[in-house]
Order: sequence, then structure tokens, then C-alpha cells
Amino acid sequence: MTAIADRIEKASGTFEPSARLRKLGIGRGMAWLILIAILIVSLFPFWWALRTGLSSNSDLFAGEQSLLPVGYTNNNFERVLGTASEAEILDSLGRQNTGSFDFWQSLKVSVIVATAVTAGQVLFSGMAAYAFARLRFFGRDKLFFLFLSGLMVPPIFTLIPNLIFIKNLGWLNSYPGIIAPFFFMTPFAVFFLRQFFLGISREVEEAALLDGAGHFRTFFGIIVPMSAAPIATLAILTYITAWNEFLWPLVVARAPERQPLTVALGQFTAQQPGTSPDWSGLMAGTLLAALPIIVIFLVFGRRVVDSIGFSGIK
Amino acid sequence: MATVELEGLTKIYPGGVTAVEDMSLSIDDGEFVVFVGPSGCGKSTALRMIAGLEEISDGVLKIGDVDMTSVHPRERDIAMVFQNYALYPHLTVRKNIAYPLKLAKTPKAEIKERVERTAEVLQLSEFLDRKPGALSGGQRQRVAMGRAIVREPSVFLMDEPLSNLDAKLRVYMRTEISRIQRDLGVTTIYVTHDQVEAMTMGDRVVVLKGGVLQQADKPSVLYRNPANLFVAGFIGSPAMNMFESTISIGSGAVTVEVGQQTVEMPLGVLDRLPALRGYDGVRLACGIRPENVHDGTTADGMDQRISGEVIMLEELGSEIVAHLEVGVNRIDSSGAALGSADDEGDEYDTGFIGRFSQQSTTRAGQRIEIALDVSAMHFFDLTTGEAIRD
Ligand SMILES: Nc1ncnc2c1ncn2[C@@H]1O[C@H](COP(=O)(O)OP(=O)(O)OP(=O)(O)O)[C@@H](O)[C@H]1O
Ligand SMILES: [Mg+2]
Repeated sequence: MTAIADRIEKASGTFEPSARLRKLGIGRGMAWLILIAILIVSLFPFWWALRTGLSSNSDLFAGEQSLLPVGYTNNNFERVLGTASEAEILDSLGRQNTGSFDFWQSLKVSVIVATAVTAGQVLFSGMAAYAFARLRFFGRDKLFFLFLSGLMVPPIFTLIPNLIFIKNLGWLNSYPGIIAPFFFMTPFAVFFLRQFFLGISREVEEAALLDGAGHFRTFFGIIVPMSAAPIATLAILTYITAWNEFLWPLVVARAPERQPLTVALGQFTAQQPGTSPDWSGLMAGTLLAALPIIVIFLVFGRRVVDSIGFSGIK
Repeated sequence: MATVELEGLTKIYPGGVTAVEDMSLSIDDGEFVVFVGPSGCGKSTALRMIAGLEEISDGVLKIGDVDMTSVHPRERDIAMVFQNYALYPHLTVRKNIAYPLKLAKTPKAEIKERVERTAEVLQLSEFLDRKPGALSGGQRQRVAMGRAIVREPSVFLMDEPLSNLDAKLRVYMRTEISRIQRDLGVTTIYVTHDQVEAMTMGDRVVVLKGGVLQQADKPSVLYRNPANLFVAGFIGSPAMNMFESTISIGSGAVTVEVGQQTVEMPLGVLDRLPALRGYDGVRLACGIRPENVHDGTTADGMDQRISGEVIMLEELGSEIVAHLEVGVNRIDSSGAALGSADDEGDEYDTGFIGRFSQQSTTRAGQRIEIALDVSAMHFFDLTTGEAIRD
């Protein structure tokens, strides 16, 4: 036994140098080069947005070509954030600030909507997923299949019916109206969590049952904490999706004070008939709007990658 | 503390599998009962019906004289220890053990006191603030026990709680569980497929096969007086030598065929087993345990001998397990001849296993004289498999 172990150790010992060599080998070098190239390609748009956001419009239209900001100014960001004075605006834009929007109000709308949608969706999807995974009731699996086939329906199909429904409820231009269609659950979220719940040992739930816990207690006291990781993953994914949602708020929220950032930024470009687009202002606004998501990426990077990997099943 | 009464308990799973059939048993207060049987015989199902985790298809379950047949599991006042421990991974050991008390709205101070006392009994005190993930298998096992005993339930149920432990720890925990059970005096039903575990732990052992209760008795009775071929073959290791035979009742003795050879039993056996008279000249099954098969040269005073060839010897130090070719037709626990299915057969289809004393000097390949202690011979009806006991 020990003789064999020794030999294995020796053998792996002789392998080590070659493994090290391989680390520095040509293949690895190529891989690094390619990765760096991909990195540059994918990060370039961000840089371009930042570069444009920090340029002055007049210099941009003068046809300056540079990878660096032309006519550097942070006036665009100030303009978007509403901290720039009239004079500064006139100076940088060469005209009145027509395409303005209330960044802070829209940010508030975005945060409220994304947070509410995430909280609602995770909660209700979780409970539905648990029911589909564990409770015994008539037609459960058929119902789940039916529910899952909702994944096949393109969102655009439900847009008009939803809009009419929300309008009849008198919820246009309101938070409930923006949030409602996403609040309860999505087939994907239910599917995602159910898959995980199915993997949880039944014995643990049975132990909880014998210890005196009912369904709700078992779910909130045992299942949810045990599933913290996938639930967090789902929450992040949902938050990002809700943050980026454009079409639905565009149709229900006509009033500027109920427009999330995605819609408000769209309005920003559309609001300037006859003038050249305010590219630098738009880029500054876009960057600011993407900031929360970038922060999420930086903080939960690993988890976001995992969740995107999983959603690939979709 | 309570009695447990099973009256015709039956479980038919959706899809039509009858996992437990008409099982009746009454368990005394404080008794340690072990359900044992091969995989798939319905042990877990029976236990889970008592716990309330499976619906009872038919029959009545009483705990402490109260009908519990369709009572919600949490109202049955039972605690269960699961095979995979089923600890709550996100809670510390302390909170795991406290969980049932917390749900029962026990006052905080009392919870603390009972958890700590329990931890002491199970030698878990130093692990109270760890999570289950940071414990060894044996420690997790003890936490699971702790969560069960802290409630002071009226019945403990355990489903193969030791099967994930290594052999040494298993033996240790076996005695631990027995000790704790004795100290607490809580009625316990314990499921295992390991007959050694069953025999060493149980006040009473219940042997199941195919969902049907075969025999429920004290370990010693089970061993000495198996009710049928199945129990005879299942209990004991190495297993009983069971073979086809015919007896003929003569004027002075009962002659028993052992392959081509015969041994004689004194007529007294007919007083002990009067039913044997009905089997004169009829094919039946005979059984003799390995410890009643001796090396002829070292067995004094045993005059019933046959000859056979030593195929293989396993020296265990304290004794020698001998595989012997004696030319019998071995049968398995269902009563089917072992050699009949395929013509080839091997020595195990026609041989005996004997437990020789270490004084034996036989060697493999030798032809020797084998002494049989015929007073310990068992007889079974070949068609029903039932023991011929009276
Ligand atoms: N949920 C179920 N649905 C249908 N049949 C089942 C179900 N659970 C168990 N069975 C069947 O019931 C029989 C008894 O199962 P059970 O789990 O009680 O066996 P066991 O004696 O505990 O076996 P093991 O020693 O392998 O744990 C088996 O034939 C099994 O296939
Ligand atoms: Mg089982």
C-alpha cells in the first residue's frame, strides 16, 4: 500500500515541472492574448460612453477624432444630475437645455420598481416553486407543465392585454401599474427555484414536520435559509431584468414623474426636434443609469455569472 | 412513554405496491423493538406509517391506547432519527436541538437548560455553537439523537441511524443508543437491515419479508426457534445450513438423510416435535447451524458423524470457519433448491459451513469425519417453509 502511494507521489513529483512549464507555454500565452482582446472589445463601449459623456457636444460635432474625451467637461453629468446652472448649460450645449429629465426622480422610480418586483417575484415564485416541488395536490404536475409553457409565450403577446387590464384598473402612471405584471411570478423563477427545492433532502422537511413545523414554518424557517444561495442568485437576476425593463414602463408610464431611468433616457433623446442629438448628455445619463447594475456586478460578480450560466437553460 | 399497537397495518403505495401487509404487533411501554429484514421488505414504510409520514392504507395504529391512525404527525408525540440525520444545516447544533422545543413554545430558560443537559448526555457540549457541516458523521448522528431525546417524546423511531458510520463507530453508537434508551426508558422502534445490530440491540426483534411480518420475538428465541425457513436463514452468521432431506421414523430412532448419508436422532425428538410424525418419509427441509457442525477429531461425545471434504478454511483466530463438501441439496430461505436453477452449481450448493474449534488441525482438501450435534437440528415443511415446531 505505502509502496504504491510512494510511487504515485514520485510520479506526480516528476510531473510537476512539466505542469509548470505548461503554465508558461505558448498555448497559455495565446489564451491570455485572446482573453485580453475579448476584454477590450467588450469594455470598449463602456469606455466610449464615458469618453463621450465627458466630451463637450460642440467639440464632438466639430468632428474631433480621439479615444480620449474631446473638450473635456463634467458638465454633462452635472446637467443630467440637475446640478448645472443655466449659464453652464447654455455654454456647453449652445442652447437651452430642452432634453432634460429629472434624473433623481427617475432613479427613485427605477429603484422602487426593481426592488418591489424583485421582492414580490422571489417571494411568490418561491412559494409556488415549493408547492410544485413538494405539496401533493391533484393535477400538480400537469399544472406545472402548463405554467411552464408560459415560458414559450413572447412577452410582446401579453403587452396589449396587460395594458388594457391595467388601464381598466386605473393604474396607468402609477407604481402598481408598472410593477403588477412582474410582481407575482414568472415561469422561469418558479422553474429555477423548484429545481433547487427538489434537490433538498426530503428527510429534513420530514424532520421539521415531526418537530412540529407546518408548511409555512418549514418553508420560511428551513427551506428558505437552506436555499439562500439560489434565492440570492434569482434576486440579482430579477433585479437586473427589472432595472433594464423598457417596453412595459414605456407604455404604462407616460407621466415623467413615473418613468424609470430606461424610459426617461429614451425620452431624453426623443425630446429635441430639429436639433442635433445631445450625445454627450445621453451617454452621461446612460452611464449613471447603469451604475447601480455595475455596482451589483462588482459586489456579486461570481453569483451573477452563475445565475447567467443557469439561465442559459432558458 | 407509551405502548404502541399495530393492528393489521397495511400500506399500498399509489401504483399498487403493497409495501406492508396486515402487520400486527403490540409493543410494550419502554420496549426496544427492532424491525429487521432485507432491503425493500417494508421496514421504513412500517416505521413511516407509525410516524405519520405515510398515510395508513388499512389497519389501526394506537399509541398509548389512543387511536393515532389519521392523526397529524406532530400530534403523535414521536421523535424520529433519520438515516441521513436530517439536521438543519443553517442552524447551530444548539439551535438544531432546540428546534422542537422552540416550536412547542417552551420558555427560553427551560430550552437552554434542556439543550445543555441533552448535549451533556451525548457529549456534545463543546460543539453546541458549530454548524452541522463542521461535525464528523458520528457527531452529526449524536446531534440527531439529541434533537429526538430533548423532546422527551413518548416514542422514538429510528430508521437505520447508524448505516452511514464506519464499522467501529457503529459498534460504539450501538451501545450508546442502547444505553440512552435504557436510561430514558422511552419506547423505541429501530429499523435496520443488519441482523447483528438487531440481535444485539433489540429487546424484541421483528423480522419482515416482502411486507409481511415473519416473526417477532426475543433475539434468543428467534435464534433457537425460527418460525420459518426465512427467519432461520436470515438470523445468524454464517447462516444456518439448510438442505433437503427425508426422515424415517424407526423403532429405535429417527433417521435423517444428509445427502447420501444418514444420521440418527433419539426418539425423544418426537416428544419435543410431535408434528414430525406426520413427515415420515416426506421430503422436508432440515437445518443445522454452523456451530453445531464440528470437526470429528475434536468433538468428543458426539456420535452422529458424516464424512465430507474440506474445501476451504477461514482462520478467524478464535475459531475456524470450514467450508465442507457433504453432498446435500442446499436450499435457500424460500425453500428452493440452490443447485436446481443452473446445473453447474458450486460447492456452496452441496456443502455445509462449520465452525470448528481452533484445536482442529484439518487442512483444505482433506476428507474428514464431521460431527453433527443433531439435538440442535431444525425441521421445516418444504412447501410452506414453516418450521415444524410442535
Ligand atoms: N413512495 C413509494 N411509492 C411506491 N413504492 C414505494 C414507495 N416507497 C417505497 N416503495 C416500495 O415499497 C417497498 C418497501 O419499501 P421500504 O422503503 O419500506 O423498504 P425498506 O425495508 O426500508 O428497505 P431498505 O432496507 O432498502 O431501506 C419497496 O418495494 C419499495 O420499492
Ligand atoms: Mg428503508
